[in-house]
Amino acid sequence: MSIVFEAKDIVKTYKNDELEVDVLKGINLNITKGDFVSIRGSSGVGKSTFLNILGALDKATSGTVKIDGVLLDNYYKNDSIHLYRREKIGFVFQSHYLMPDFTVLENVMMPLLILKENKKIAEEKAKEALKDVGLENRIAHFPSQISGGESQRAAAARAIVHTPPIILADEPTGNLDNKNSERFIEIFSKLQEQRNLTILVVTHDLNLADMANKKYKMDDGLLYDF
Amino acid sequence: MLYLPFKIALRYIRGRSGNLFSVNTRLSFAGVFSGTSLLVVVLAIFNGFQDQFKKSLFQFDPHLIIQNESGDRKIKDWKNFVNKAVDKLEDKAAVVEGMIQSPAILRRYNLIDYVFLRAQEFQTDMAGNYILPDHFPEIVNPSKLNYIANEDVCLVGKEMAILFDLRVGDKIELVVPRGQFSLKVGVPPSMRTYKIAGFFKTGYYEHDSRLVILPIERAQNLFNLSSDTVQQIVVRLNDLKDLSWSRDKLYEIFKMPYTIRTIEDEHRNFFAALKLEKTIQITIVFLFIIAAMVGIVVATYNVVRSKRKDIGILKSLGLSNGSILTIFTINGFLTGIFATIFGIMFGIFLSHNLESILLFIEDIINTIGEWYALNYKPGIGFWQKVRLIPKNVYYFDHLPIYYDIEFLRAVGFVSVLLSGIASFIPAWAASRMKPIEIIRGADS
Ligand SMILES: Nc1ncnc2c1ncn2[C@@H]1O[C@H](COP(=O)(O)OP(=O)(O)OP(=O)(O)O)[C@@H](O)[C@H]1O
Ligand SMILES: [Mg+2]
Repeated sequence: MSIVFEAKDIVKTYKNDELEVDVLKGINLNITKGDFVSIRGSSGVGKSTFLNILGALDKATSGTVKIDGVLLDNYYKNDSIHLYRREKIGFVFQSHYLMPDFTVLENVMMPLLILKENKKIAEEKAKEALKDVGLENRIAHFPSQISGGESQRAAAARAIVHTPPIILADEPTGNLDNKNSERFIEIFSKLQEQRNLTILVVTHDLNLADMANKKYKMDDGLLYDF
Repeated sequence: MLYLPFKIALRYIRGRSGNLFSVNTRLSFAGVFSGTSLLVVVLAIFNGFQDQFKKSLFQFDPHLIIQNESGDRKIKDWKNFVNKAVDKLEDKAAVVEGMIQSPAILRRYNLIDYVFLRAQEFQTDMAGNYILPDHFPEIVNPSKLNYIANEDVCLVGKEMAILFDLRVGDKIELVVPRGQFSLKVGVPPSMRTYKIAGFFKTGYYEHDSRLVILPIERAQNLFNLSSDTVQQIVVRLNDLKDLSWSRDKLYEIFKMPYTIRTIEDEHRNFFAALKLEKTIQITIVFLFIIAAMVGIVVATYNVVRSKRKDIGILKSLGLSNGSILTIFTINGFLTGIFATIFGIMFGIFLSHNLESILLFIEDIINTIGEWYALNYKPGIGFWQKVRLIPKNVYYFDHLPIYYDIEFLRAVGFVSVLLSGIASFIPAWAASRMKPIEIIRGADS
């Protein structure tokens, strides 16, 4: 089993004026290909902070992240962090974050177009991903014309369409009602199986957390098996 | 396939399908559009006035006037002086000639008014007819008038024709002072009847309403001068740059009691106004540049602000800072280019039709005014008509319009360039945004 993702001694300290807050105190996490990992933890414990560091949206105070054997720090040093984001990561946020001026299809095509994929191929792949999340009838709609649950599924399609080595999901069901959550979880886990995705999900949602084959709990800046 | 940032920028300009343009695009378009079109109109009027002014004065009025300030104030043996002056001025002078200029009284039936008389040299053709000189004002009636019969003829301004209800072929009587003032009889008048050969138009209202031009021999009769005597010697130069040089040269011939006045002395106020207009023009262009720049910066900042979330998403999806920069620079730039092009076009259209537009507004005001006076001011019951282009206040009988094509091109170029620079600044800010702040900000 190959390790695709390796986080070592991740520390994050926020400094606000005089006040220093140690949010992450040295987190270690290895993820192998095909893993479905979940992290639970009470609010404010630092789950999003951790995920944002892995997704290169935020910088750790110290520690290293390695993906496909390459250090995240190298991307920062080469001023090519955007390459890391576009090639290595698929992100699903709590609120869907679709771009309102673009159709559902165009939104899902975006990661591929950013990767300079041919437009025809991008369209095919995006349509397929949308089919996988059950939105084949919504491709020409604008985000304002579809429901919250549908938006979140479109966001999931966008995260997986370019088959990144890892998908990071921060509270993907956080804004959905029960029925939509269930539907999302069902589709998400089916995707994971079908496409052999590597997923790291952070959530309060017990149903979602339980779908994972590796479960962790974050407490006081550290990770524990759960 | 279009480059992705370009495509995204176009989508932002267009807005969601169904709208023709996004609100932001419309706002920045409106800003630059009205800016450029107003600039074009203002400059067209400014340049038009200057151009018209130069045309009507410089091409017609003498540039240098030499007078004798002693005795009977006449210049005897003027042809001799003219030859000397021509020699002195080398190739700088276009025309050197004798002239008689004098105020006069025009009488037609029982109508009496003052006019200004100018007698200048007319060449004669083989048949003895007078040929109209070069630099003569445009003849509006009769058309294609090239020569006039060798008799007591005159040409008058087209506004005078209206003022006195004159027609070609009509006869007018001119009355001028003759000889010198004496206590016993005052100034004895001299009068003579002239036939109107045609109407000219200088575009300068004072001239067009007051000036009577006649061949110099015909005026010499009226003033009782011998054929070798005139009142002034006048010079027209090829280039006004040589004005002071020429005056200095002429001083070598014309010593006291002769005086030399230049067109600048004659129209000192106008020249000052001309200079002032140039200054104002540059100031306006400068202000426009600042306003357009601020407008585009603000509009692009607006776009950036309203697309904050998109910027966060695109960055988290791995779009580079450079691409974000491109998106928002193109956004302002394209809008700026189109707004400039359409603005200049509309400005040209507007200035071409400004006179009719003003007349139309004038009409509306007067119609409403008359209606108002009739209904609500029974004591007075009439309406003093509003004139937006009053003829006697402006120097010209129509609103002159003139484009400096080079200048328009410069305005367009600068406007486009500024759109680029002005949209670059907010676009730069957009490219520096941190996705984490956007994503955290919108989540809470
Ligand atoms: N920019 C910042 N400056 C200072 N403190 C911050 C900053 N961002 C986050 N924090 C703090 O870090 C801690 C962890 O925040 P984080 O968002 O990671 O929590 P979380 O586990 O995701 O919570 P939730 O489950 O509510 O989403 C919180 O106490 C938060 O106040
Ligand atoms: Mg969180």
